[in-house]
Amino acid sequence: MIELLIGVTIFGLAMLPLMWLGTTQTRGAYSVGKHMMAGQIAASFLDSLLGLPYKECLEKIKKLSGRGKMKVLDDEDLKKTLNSLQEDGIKKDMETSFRYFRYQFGYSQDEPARILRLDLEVFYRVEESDEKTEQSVKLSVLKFGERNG
Amino acid sequence: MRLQLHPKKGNITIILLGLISVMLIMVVALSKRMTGHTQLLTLSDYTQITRYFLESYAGDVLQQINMNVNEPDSELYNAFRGPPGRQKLKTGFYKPAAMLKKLADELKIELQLPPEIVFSQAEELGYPPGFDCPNDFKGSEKKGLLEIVCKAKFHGRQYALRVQYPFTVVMRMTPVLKDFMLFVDKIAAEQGRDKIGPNDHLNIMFTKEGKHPEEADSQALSHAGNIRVKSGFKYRPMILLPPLDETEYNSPELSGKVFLGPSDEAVYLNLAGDTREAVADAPGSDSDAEFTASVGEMFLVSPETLKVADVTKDFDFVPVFMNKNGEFIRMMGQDVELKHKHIAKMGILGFSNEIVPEIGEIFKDTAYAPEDFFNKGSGASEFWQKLEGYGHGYMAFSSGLKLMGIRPDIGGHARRQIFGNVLGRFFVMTFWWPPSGGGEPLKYDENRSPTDFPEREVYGSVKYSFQPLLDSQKYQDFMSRMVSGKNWNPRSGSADNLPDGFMPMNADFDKQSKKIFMHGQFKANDGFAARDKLEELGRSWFAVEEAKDKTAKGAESRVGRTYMSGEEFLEAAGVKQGKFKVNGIVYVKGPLKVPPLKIKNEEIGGGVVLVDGPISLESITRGYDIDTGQFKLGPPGNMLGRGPAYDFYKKIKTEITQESFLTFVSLRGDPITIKGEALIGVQLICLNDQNNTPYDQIMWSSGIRKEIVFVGGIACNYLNLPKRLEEFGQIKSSCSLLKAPFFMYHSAMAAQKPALAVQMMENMRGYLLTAGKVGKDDDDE
Repeated sequence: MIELLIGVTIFGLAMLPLMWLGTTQTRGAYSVGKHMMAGQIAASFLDSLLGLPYKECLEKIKKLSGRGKMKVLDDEDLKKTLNSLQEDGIKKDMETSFRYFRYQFGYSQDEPARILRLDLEVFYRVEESDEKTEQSVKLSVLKFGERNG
Repeated sequence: MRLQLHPKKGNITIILLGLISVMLIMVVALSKRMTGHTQLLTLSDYTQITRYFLESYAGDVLQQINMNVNEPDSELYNAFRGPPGRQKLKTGFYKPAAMLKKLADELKIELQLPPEIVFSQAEELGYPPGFDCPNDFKGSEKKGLLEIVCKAKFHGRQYALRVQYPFTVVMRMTPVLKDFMLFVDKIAAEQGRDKIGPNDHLNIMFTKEGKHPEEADSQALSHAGNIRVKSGFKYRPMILLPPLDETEYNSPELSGKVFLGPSDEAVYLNLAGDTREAVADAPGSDSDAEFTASVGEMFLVSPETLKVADVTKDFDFVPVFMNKNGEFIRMMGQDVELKHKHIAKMGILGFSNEIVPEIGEIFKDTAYAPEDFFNKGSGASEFWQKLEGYGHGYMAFSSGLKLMGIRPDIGGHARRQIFGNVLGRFFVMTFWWPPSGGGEPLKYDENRSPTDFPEREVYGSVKYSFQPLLDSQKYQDFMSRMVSGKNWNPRSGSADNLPDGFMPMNADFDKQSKKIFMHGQFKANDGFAARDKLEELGRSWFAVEEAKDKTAKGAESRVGRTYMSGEEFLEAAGVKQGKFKVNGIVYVKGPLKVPPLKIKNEEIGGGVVLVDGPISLESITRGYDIDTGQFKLGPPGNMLGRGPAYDFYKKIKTEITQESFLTFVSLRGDPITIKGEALIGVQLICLNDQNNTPYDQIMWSSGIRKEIVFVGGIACNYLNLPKRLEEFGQIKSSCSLLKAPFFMYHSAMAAQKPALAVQMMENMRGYLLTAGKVGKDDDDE
């Protein structure tokens, strides 16, 4: 009987790190998902800016970077995309997923050379309820203005 | 000793050991999975960061190619203009931008230099129907793909991005059109159906005493009912100056061609004239400058035009008939010898106030009226009948458009080719002088028997008869007439078989005769020929294909860049940086307002700007210190080869090339407004008729106060000439010899070798990002 008791105790004690590992694993996977999403958001935001003519891009980045840290869901383009979704479920899921995502633009410019540097940082929370767990993905790219010579 | 367990003892231990083993396996598996996640995440992050970095790198390479590829001294210039083929480009031109280097430093990415640049494919560009490209030029205009491979190292891995950018190599100017100084393909509509009278808006320049006074005399106006010229308004003619350079003057290729269309309609230009130009301009005469600069255009008429005149002799200033005071009325012409030493005096007269019977001097105090020469009623020629109906005042108005400029001091005229059914209208007056008993005019009569020559009995005993030297000569060859005096329909006959009595404005110098030139005779200095009507060529080059998946073979297929506004274009052209780089064929969503361009030729990249909307242009002076208010021809006696205008042209002749020539095209026929007095090295094109009736396509703003100087070419559907002449009339002439704006052709437009521009497009293709371990040859995608 005592053997059984000791056995269960050892098993129980052994299970604890395993459970912790499992929880960490789940949280990690969740975090990876969020990180990937943040990366995707950052890439899509940058790509949409890169697709604009140089002048428009410059005007837009000036406006966006002046706004500081913004909620991803407040982004006009994303709003339009979400509004265009037919399925309410998907829309709701997206809104829930991006609830705590934020972004911040920055830029610098070499005016004579018509080169514009776009910086974008997308923030997400590993634990949604804890602001301190905020992580970010940062991307930078150069946009070149047309020069005919 | 053998360990013997109790059958019930130790079972749990074994189970526990088993469980712990399973747990350990699970821990290992979970931890491995976690590591995998982390690695995946890291790789994903690195790839994304590097991807944007490499795209920036490729963008930097592309921008620097763009900056160098059209600079004649650069390595890239010849590489793109050579024969197509898969070849590697030298990359010495490439220096990473400071911002790219900074980004690499911040991200700790190792930039790998140089990039690899290879032509991956190229094919020749086609031409719309009607454009006959010379064989040695075929393939020079091409499109292809340029492959750029950029590499960078990041966290122990090597990343490579391969992208392809489309490029085109195109002519900086518009083939065929660039050889024209003036190309107006629907100008016939500005003459109405009658080709004379109130709806004739081409022959509206008042002419008197060898000049074009800015304001028409009220007397002349009163005898020209409903003429388009407004009383009290000032007008100056549009004179296309002959080349000021002697070589160009004698070259049909370099003197700037003219086309007045359409090809199936005739255009009649009244030649300006007066009775005095010969005596004033005769060698050794003590004439003053005013006469030397006569606007008279009788120099365009050569003896062969009269058919019976002696082609070995020039026209002289001959007395033709007498007034009542016994004084001879003299004019340009020839004494044509008849049999028995009789003489037929044939004089030629241009349109001028002097010949208006009611107010001029030619018929004043004479026993003759115009009808004695030109007949009347149904016996007269078609245009003379109309002119009599509208009023003799129309005889005082000559063409407001002078295709050959003013009378050159050296005689003859420039070898400028005039395309289209352009006919010169003037008068021939023939007077037969028998040996005694006075003479008589040879009246116009188309229906008279060709052998029915006049006879005259003197004192009832002597009978003189008019007998031509050759039996083949007809009465109609001698009779007085208005040359080009009836409406000839080119649709009913070929230009090669133009009936007698017409004078084409074009001279075929090879055949020493006046001959209409149509597209078949067009041959540009660069070898391009026309296989379709010239107006069709103008249209098809700028046509835009309606079907979405198709592109027209002309300008549309050559467009390198598209700008959504005029401002965007000006920014890309570098106006703020003191440049104006078109470098190819670009499309601009108009309107386009081009500011004054004082930029030097070296900072101008020539090309064609297709504007979808109205265009306004300030002066384009290319850094030349030019005061058009001081613009003048040379002194009398050597007007074309000396003087400020010549000095200026001499300077720009070689300095302006096709490499910096600018063409502005109003794609939809919106107006091009010129707000500056000087446009140097510019071609303006507006060939998309919006109204099917004459309207303002290219116009000069009322704000211009100094003399207009235009060096280049104009191509449009209509000039709307009365409005243009009014615009010119608002400016005071800067030159006492040329009372008109300075319109000059630039021979660079007709260069033997067309200049090419390379256009790089930014739409990437063939995108391939690869990553591999450093030092490993085979990359993993």
